Amino acid sequence: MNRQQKKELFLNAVSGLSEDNISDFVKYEDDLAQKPGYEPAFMPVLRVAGAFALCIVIFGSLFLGLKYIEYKSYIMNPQTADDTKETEETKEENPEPAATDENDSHRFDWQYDIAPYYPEEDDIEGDYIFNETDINGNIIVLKRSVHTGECTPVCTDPFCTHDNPNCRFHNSMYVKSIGNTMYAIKIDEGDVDDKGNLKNSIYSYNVDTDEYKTIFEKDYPIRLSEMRRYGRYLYFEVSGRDDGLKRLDVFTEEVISVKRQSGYRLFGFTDNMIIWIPTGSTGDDLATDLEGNDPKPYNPVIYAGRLHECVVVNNNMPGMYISWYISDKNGERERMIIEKCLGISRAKNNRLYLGLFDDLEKHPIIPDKPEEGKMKMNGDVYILPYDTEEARLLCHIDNVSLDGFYSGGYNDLKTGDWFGIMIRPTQHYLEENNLAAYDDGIRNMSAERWVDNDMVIVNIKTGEYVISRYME
Amino acid sequence: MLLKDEEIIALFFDRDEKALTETARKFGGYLKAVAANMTDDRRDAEECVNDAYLAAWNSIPPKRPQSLKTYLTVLLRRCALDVIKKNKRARRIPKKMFSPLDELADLIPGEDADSALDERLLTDIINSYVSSLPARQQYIFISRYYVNRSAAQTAKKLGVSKSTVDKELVQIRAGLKEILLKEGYNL
Repeated sequence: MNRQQKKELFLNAVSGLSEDNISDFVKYEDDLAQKPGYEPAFMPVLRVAGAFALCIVIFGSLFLGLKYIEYKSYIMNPQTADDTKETEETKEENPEPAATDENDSHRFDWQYDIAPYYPEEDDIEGDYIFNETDINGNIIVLKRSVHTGECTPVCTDPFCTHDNPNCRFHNSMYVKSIGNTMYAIKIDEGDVDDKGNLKNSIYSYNVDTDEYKTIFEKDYPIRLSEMRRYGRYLYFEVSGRDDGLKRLDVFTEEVISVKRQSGYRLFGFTDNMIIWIPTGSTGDDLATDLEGNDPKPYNPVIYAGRLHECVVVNNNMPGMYISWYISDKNGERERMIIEKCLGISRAKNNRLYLGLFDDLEKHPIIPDKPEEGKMKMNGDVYILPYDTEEARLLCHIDNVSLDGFYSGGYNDLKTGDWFGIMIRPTQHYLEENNLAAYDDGIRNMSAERWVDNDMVIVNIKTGEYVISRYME
Repeated sequence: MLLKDEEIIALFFDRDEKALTETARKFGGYLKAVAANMTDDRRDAEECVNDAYLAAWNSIPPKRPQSLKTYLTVLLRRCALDVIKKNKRARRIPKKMFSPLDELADLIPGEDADSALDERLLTDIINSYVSSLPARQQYIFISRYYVNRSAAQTAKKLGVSKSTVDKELVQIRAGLKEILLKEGYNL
């Protein structure tokens, strides 16, 4: 059998995947869409400005003129049926909701229900947010100071290039942290058995003491994945020998097996319980104790007065952008949270919305070539607590640089009350409802460019913020 | 407002052509994006999507899918295979669908395999293996080899780096290879 024949064999075999498997895939993707920062390919997303305005300086120098347009962001107060007649003044403060006529290009398209949530408890605060980033095909673990924004590799070896197994942090995934101690799964590519299986382990590393410790490993290759943290426990999937869902106590290094719930997958944690959601299309959520025992139905919390979150594509502007609105279940009482939203994050029991503004009519957010410079923008961060109906301004931020979008890894961008916001505005445009990506100025449906925007790290209690950028 | 799946399926059962309009409204963007990954040009992609709508119209009823999106994904894949067959007859070699299969073809070493390799057995093995994977890895496998997304596209859906997905795919394939070897695919 030649290579082409083998490929045809797999083509037909993979095509025979069961509907159950495909259903799991579809459900997983729909669940991903509920998470902040998701950018679905089939949904209209931010269209960066298409107009360029370049000024060419006499005698061989180029300059870009950059100015800000006034960013108009407002929050409507809910209107009831008994509200008095609008005056011109109140009309300006409370503009009419956008038309819902299908023929109107500014129509609302209520695609998303705000996902029900499970209350999160306070957590130990450290000085850093940890995340992985892809630099030239290598995964590097970074730490970002929440006090200064300084971003450096976790590896402190000044001679290490972080691109080979000699680096202690090479091939780390699912980075988590408790205070200034990070935890991650490490894939030891150098250790392969005769069947091609890799050896995985879990390590801890304390930034303050430089102590590195392997806290979970086996003598034989196993595959670890989907690690999550709740308090002192790390939950992760083991495939291969001893497979199943495990829980590791990071303080005692005790490992136990967690009882799976048939027909469910682990979704999250709250109030010393594991929350499981059904893998099928129907069914109630379940809650068990932290070892998977004593299952009982569990109802998540539904946001007070807010059941829909909407992405609006405004075709009337030169270029398109996303606005985030909320409304009640019937699409009435729409309130605009932020007009041009370029970042969204879940922050404990709140949502954060980052709006950045620039003169979209005159300057591109995407330069034709990545090295041509980064756009500096100002913006506002709004916070929307889950148990209220009102978003409020958390902070105004200055000089955020954009030239790509941010890859955050499998980790949580948080420590205590500090949360990182991923900014994902720039690398895509919309072409007939399909996402396409710029690749050195050439439209390419499959090529993607991974460059880093600044990360905005905000404190949801105080409104302080820092801007963090990895400088190679 | 978009209709729920049950409401659209009811339109199919009523043989109301609005069923197709509503299906396109709700899933059109998704299907076009998936079709674009499975075909080599826009014309073929449009043909696949239209064929999937037609296949849905012709099969519902009596079929009553639990998830319309799942059902349409399966129909789309079948339509993409038909397009491949048509292109092969026209001596056009489809690149996109076969490109990720290079990674799977490596799992079966040896060039002198005979026809004893049973496609149905391989299908069962892959089905069983994919079902056994953790949810995220199952998602990555199907995204890469069924829906035909690039590792970068899959990484973007997950909000992780491409390298992360590449490494997970290495692990997933290693596991599949182990099972194939146990089943005697080591010619």
